Amino acid sequence: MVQDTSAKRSVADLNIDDPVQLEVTRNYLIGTCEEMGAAMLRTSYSTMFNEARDFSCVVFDAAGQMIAQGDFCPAHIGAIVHTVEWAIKEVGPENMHPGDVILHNDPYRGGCHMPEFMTLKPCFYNDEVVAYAANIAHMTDIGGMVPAAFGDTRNIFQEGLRLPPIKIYKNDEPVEDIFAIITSNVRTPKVSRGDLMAMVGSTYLAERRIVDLIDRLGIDRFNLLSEQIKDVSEVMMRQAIARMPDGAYAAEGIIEDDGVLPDTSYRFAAEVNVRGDEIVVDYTGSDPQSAGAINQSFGTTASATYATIFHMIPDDIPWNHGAYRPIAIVAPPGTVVNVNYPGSCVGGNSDTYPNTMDVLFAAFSQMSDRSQACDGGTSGLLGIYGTNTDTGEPFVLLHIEGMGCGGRIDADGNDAMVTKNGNCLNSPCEVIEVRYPVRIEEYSVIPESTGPGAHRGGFGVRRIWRCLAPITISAHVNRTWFRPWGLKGGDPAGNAALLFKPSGSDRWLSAKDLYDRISAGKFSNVELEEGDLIMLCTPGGGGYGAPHERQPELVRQDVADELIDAQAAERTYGVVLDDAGAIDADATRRKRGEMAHAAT
Amino acid sequence: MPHNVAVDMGGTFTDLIATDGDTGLQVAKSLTTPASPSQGIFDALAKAEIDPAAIEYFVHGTTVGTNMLIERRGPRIGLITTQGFRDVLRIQRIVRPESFDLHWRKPRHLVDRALSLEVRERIGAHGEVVQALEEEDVVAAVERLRAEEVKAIAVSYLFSFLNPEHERRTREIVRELYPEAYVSISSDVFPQWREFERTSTTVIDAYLKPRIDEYLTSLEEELDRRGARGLLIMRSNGGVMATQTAKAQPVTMIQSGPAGGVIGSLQLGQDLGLDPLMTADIGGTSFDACLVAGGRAAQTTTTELEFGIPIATPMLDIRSIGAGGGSIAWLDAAGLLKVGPQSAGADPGPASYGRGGAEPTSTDANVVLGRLDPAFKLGGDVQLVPEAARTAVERIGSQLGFTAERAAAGILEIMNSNMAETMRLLTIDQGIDPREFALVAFGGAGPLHGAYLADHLGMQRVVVPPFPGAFSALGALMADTRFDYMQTRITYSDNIDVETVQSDFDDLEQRARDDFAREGFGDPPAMQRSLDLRYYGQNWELEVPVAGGTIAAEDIAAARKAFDAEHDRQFGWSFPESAFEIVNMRLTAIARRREVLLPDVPPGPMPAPVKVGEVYFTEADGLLSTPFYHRDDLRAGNTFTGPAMIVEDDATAIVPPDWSARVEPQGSVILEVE
Repeated sequence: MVQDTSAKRSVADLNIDDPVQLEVTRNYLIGTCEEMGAAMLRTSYSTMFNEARDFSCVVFDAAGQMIAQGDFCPAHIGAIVHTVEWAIKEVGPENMHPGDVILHNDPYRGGCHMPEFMTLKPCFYNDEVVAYAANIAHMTDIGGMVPAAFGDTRNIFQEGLRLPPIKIYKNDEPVEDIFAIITSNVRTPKVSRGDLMAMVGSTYLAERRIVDLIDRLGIDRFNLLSEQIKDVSEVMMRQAIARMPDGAYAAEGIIEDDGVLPDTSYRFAAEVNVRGDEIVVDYTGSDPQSAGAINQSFGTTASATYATIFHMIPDDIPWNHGAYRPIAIVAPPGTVVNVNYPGSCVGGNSDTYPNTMDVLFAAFSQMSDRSQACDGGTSGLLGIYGTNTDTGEPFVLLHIEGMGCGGRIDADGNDAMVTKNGNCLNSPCEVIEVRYPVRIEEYSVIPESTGPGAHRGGFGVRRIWRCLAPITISAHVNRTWFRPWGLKGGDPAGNAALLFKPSGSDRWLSAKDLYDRISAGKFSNVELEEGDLIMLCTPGGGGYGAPHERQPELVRQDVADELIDAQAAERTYGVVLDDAGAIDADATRRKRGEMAHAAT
Repeated sequence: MPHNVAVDMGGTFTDLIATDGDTGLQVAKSLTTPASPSQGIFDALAKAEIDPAAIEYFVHGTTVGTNMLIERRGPRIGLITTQGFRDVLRIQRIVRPESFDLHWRKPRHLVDRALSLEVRERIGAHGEVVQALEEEDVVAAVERLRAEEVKAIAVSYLFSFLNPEHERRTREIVRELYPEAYVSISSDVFPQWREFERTSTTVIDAYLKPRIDEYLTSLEEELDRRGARGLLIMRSNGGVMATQTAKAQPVTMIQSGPAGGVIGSLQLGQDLGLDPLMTADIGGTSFDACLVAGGRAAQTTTTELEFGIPIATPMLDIRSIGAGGGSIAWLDAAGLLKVGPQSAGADPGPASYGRGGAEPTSTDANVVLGRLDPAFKLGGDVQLVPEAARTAVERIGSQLGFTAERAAAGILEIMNSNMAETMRLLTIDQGIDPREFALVAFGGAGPLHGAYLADHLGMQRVVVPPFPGAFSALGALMADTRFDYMQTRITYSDNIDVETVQSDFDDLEQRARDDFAREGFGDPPAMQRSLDLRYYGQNWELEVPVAGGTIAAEDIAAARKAFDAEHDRQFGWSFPESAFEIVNMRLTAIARRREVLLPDVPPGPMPAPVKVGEVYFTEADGLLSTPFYHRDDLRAGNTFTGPAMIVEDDATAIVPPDWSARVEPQGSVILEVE
């Protein structure tokens, strides 16, 4: 790699004349992003926004570089850089006017996948563009052949409505023709309109804040501080990377099934190259793009890369353009990590992305203790479509499920967590049942799903749904046969399962067996009747370190918590408990000695 | 003379304020005594030389319960829940506190999984019984929990907020089979949807019950023995309640600590004709802000013990960050200045306390700038050591290439900006422009920062109340008895049945009458009904008032119109033609407890300053000769311009250059931008 001569390596070189004003301004801009988020939360329509909080808000400077983001959804963290930059370049600042708002969701133009709508407002001061406020948010339904978009789509046209950067507001007025196109092509028009209004409204708020700030600082000072804010993050990022040992760290993993071709799997290869204070992540060697929706757009691959590296860095760095500068990504076009038009990619951002992070964590584990074993690695996406019994209107529910996280050097993996590409809340059972004609009959953790280890993986969850009316279900679920791996002698975790029990039947069967779909985890539009049951089990996380090295006290606690029984404690972990549940130290030592011996 | 007393027991100090309605206000402070909590109260009474037998009204706010939760010192408890759902507390909401943190550990809840027992029963989404309660399962669960010797049992079933019959029957069985156990049922504790938050809150209520009962019972006995009367407990919603209520609903007092200051501000705002207000309560370690508009303090129902353990109960919407007099200034990895959230606390405290603290804090910055004068003891006790402050601030300044003054000004500027961003976020949630607010600044450090916070947010006016350091306790004396009730009943607009709405409100009002009778009120309380409405398909509600008395269809229509108008005001758009939903019915019931009059400050001529000192002001980029006035010397009607300082025992107020100060007849000082 050619070292960048413009690189900022030391704060002393930045000539920061007023670090206090810098800190206050940075606070203010991050605060502005958080205010945008609060406003969206308050004004939006859909549960994806304000129950799941699947959105992010950012401020860019006039140069089209991010200067602030709130702590929102990691799924957007890379894509928003590219999608905003793309929209600014394609439209051109010279073609932007006060009162404009731009909408964009095209994955081939820097976006991540089509459900993520981005609105962008050029912010004007004395008739000049001085900054941009933008947000990106998951729209539950975008038309296309699958309600909520996730299933076995084969190309972009089946996924839904694709929008290059276009103006949806001009002169502070909605461009009604555009709204009409959108609302005529989605299954839940009122929700889409309400959510778009919330997105646009929050960009207006940000523009007012930025104008207030420039009123105080003056435009030259604002521009200078924007540069410094980015440069400081770059310095911090470079210093953090410089502490990592140089080297090339390679790892790979697979994504099972694409829903289109039977019994397929796709290789994801990554090599993390740390050289000095820069990182290049090279995905060369990853498989050609698939016929289904598992492909990642470049924006998604960038997000997964940045998100993993940010996880690996202990420092508290303001995540703006400067923090991204020392990171380069090589993702060959036409592969699963950089899909070419018109390849399908809606599953890439939501369900492949965590797998890509797991691969990168495996690479980083070769040089850092901060890393972890493989997560359950699926968002467990279910798209449920039906008719609301109150209104007679169609509804679309996009359901996200938690999974188990991989074990870590210092702790077990967390149970039942959303994948690391999101930080979206689950929907409470009571909210789901009030809104949709289903009943949840069980929502529990699955202790057997863990990957045993010195620090075991977290548990996946089981949810059983009963249909109270006919519904249509689509799914995008990974790891139904590919198991999350352990690390440093830890065991792999259990798989995902998506099963059905039709009314009157007594057997749980997959969509493959029951509804003639190509994949058990990725399919579209299965029609269910009243009384049919759905069971989704998500995987646990892989174990970290050998199970027989697990602290006996932790094993005893798991038994006391009714997560494993005494037989499993002895068999898996070599911990022998007496009848009262206390640790039998001598018997444990003997048992573990045998296990260690057998392992060598 | 009979005394009215308020005692606010915090983690470190117990603050007392007393009035006999005659000779003005008295304040005292003692150390909190965790081993025997009521000891701190009697210490404070002794310091103030108040004879307990003369107390006829006693408002008590305490963190006894909160501390027990934080330290997890409560008893073993059990949970009985719907079959298939015992892991709800383990699953939580599947999120983490920060996006990029591999090392966060999901917290364990307060009840063990093995003591979380399932029973066969199910209420459906319309309140219908899907599966009848299997009483044999309940009996088995209670027998098991009894064998495990749990002290309390939480009961939380799905959709019990629509149909509490199964939970109530379960409570009967618990009382029958295991009468020694305390019991909390979710349909009483927090009858709202979202099973995780409701279950978590019910478990916390049960966890608190045994100890809170023990503490309040012993306090009552002690007070009784000494002849004191009128004990009331401060609750999180800004009201007070009888001890009997507190023992039955301990979770409602869990966030009561900062509530008093907000209630005092509300009262002050009414007296001064100021609305809307923002409160800024700045103590040693934390900054608490709340918004008051339309004569009401903002309310919420959500807080958390820690991330992943929510507590849902009606409370004032007070936002806190770690910022206060003890906040430590430090340099981040890039070598840039940061302040807080770490605090030097009370021990060792800021460097200038001379107790071994070496880190520079915001108090030290104020000392360096000449704003806190060692001639005046902080809180009447702490003798400031300016040299220690300067050494600490100089050290961090030299790393930045700054003079001590510039470093000190920077520390305060950054801390102010941290607080200002928190306040701004509050105004967003209410859809009000921050510039319209007056700021009420209190707590020991509030008056030092008030004008600068206002400046950050474009506010024009700051109120420094009397006794700013003890204002939370003073506010507690002004609190009313207040109960907030809510019934979730999600109803699509076409399906609204006026009689159901009426009967829900009738039920809530009956509960209010019962509660107030138990609190000792002969007359029913003042009651205000409201509805939480939203557009159909929307997932967020706005609260709008609805008429009392017999509800007619026109009243619902009027509420809907009000909702459209409020939606338009807050968000700039509305859908008047859209279908809508009722989500919750709410009732707030209030009865006045006591009129506490602030002592009058007589008019008089402008006093001479107690000293004239050199104080550093960033806006002047240097030292300005600044008069220091003692607050006791100020008279109603005194008006003066900054720079000036107003000192008193427990706080110091800054009047910056370009600001003026005016003394009000009841002792508040109002600062205004010139």
